[in-house]
Amino acid sequence: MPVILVSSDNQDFKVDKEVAERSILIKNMLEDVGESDSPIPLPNVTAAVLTKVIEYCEHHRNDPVQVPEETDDPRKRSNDIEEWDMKFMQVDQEMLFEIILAANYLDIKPLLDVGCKTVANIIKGKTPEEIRKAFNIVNDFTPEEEAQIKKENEWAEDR
Amino acid sequence: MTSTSDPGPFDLPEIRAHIGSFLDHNDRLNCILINKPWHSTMTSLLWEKVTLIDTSDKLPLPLQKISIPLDILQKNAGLIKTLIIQSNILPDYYDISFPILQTVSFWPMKPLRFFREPGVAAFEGLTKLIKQNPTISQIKLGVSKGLVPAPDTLWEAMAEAPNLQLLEAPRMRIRHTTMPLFWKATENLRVLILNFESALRFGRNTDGAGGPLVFPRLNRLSLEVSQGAHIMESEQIRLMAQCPQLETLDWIPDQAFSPEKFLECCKAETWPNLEGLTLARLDLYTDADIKVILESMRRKITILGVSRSGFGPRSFEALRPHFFSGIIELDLSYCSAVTSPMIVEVLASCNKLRKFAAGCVSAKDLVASPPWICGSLRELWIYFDMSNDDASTDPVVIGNETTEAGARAGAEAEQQEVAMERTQRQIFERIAGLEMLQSFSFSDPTREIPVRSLDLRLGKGLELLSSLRELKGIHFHGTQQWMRTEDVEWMLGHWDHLHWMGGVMDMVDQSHNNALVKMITDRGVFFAS
Repeated sequence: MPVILVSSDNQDFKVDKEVAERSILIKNMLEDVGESDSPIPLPNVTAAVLTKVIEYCEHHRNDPVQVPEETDDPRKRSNDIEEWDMKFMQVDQEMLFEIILAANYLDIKPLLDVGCKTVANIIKGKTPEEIRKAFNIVNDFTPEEEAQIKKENEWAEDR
Repeated sequence: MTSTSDPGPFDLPEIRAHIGSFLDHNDRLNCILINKPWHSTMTSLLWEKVTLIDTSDKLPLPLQKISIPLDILQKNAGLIKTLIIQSNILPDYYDISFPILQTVSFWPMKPLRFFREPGVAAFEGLTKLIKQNPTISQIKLGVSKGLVPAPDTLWEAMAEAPNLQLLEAPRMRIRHTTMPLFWKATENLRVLILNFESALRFGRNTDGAGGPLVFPRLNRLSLEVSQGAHIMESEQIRLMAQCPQLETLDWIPDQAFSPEKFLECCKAETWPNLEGLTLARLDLYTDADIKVILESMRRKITILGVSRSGFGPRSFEALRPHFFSGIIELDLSYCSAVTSPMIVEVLASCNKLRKFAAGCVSAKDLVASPPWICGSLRELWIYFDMSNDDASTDPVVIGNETTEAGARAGAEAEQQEVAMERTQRQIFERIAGLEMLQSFSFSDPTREIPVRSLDLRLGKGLELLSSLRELKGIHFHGTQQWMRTEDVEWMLGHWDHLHWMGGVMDMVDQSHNNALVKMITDRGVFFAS
């Protein structure tokens, strides 16, 4: 059973129901709408991004539904990204951000994880200034505020 | 973000937090300085869990230096969800209010940097902390030797704690007079983890009388009884039998009891919701006994630990229906009736399995088995019998090549060796498929001299284990190894999370072995020989 998704720039995308339902948002919409086959509008996602998202969902269509990890300890979470996903994420930064936003809006947790892990890998090992440069972020702290923060947080030492 | 009016992912606090969850402590400390939104998100993450410890090492209390100054702790108190108190601290600390505090860990057993008992003041402080912070849901009492019993006021405070669900008390010495208070403090918990070192007394009144004691909400009970506690078996059983909602039960008694009383409970359907069971001291439990236990667990079986028991073919039959429906942890270590085909069947049938310990598995059975589906396995302990039907497990002896018979024997031995190497590579391939493996042991506890097993050398198959990126520990005691420097280098280079190793690496050259051990411990990896 195919489903029609409509991007914000009015392009139609025909996908299998099973693929579309990797998005919990779409899954819930389809459950509410029932047997109707009217197209589903996605006003927050452009065609270019939706193409990528659908590509991801197609590739992962048979993945088991993710069970939340028993442990909440973030150190035990794997920061590894599988090879296909790594190649999939080799896009420019703007597309990376759009994919993260789309995954968040469409509620596709594995894609959101991959996107955030990719950003985390960029952040790893960088100083604050290097991170700002990498993402074009403006520093809104005064030097005094920066010094104060450094001093305060040396107490939250990892044990 | 390059632009603009459109919000980027970094503008959403939940996405910053999600990214932060993949960062280690140091990276978070860097992110905290990016800008104000990042500061806010990272601060919450950094201050969720806090440890208070006296870093001045044995100075008297007024001169102490506590790891976090009082004013800083106060400022961030609203972010703290877990508080670890590892030593005596100034009483003022116990006066702070922690509006979202969930877990208090008091004198955790590990890491034990300063071996000092909590003083009376510390217990008083803990009591005050519990009274003042009604959000507390978990209390973990480490308490190294339990020499100082916790005061009655502590149990009273716990009994009043409105949200308390979990108590972990690994060393419990409770005065007889205090026992009713203890029961009152624990009767509404969901999780109770205890190691009793003193006798149990039931009943709500000090004279032991009172109504039946039931734990109406207890889902998980871990009951360990130390030698010297002198608690009768009937008392131990009685405590467990008073928990009708139990889903998980661990029972580690002080001695090996005969199975009758426990089996009676099982047959009487005392625990209709039980799905996880770990028992110790099962020397007297036969295969038939374990079968009765398994058949009484009607819902499902997710955790089963029956080490050193008679678990055998009948128990295995009773367990089989639960393979696909969800067995997650299975400990059949030191069960002499567990066979190689059983082990192979588990690996090929249990798709949710995360921890598995069993015994000896034949290499031939292993490589002939259907594909393993236990891709979620985190911990594995099995050991290998590499022999073929005819060959022995002694190191291969190449025949004397000067005679014709000798040459033929030599050629046969070589063929056997080639076959053995191929088998070994196939085993390595199977293990390599367990990409989430964190702990791998193929130590053989049964032999006095080392036996042929997996040869941890590059070129023999070690390189196939590069996929085990989560590996934290590997043990190979009792196996023949001829590891070289480059093999150890490879391990240290490829297994980023390697934390512990154990076994003899070079069984021929002891000084070389010692050099390899040093290489490993110099990199901060624990080594057990």
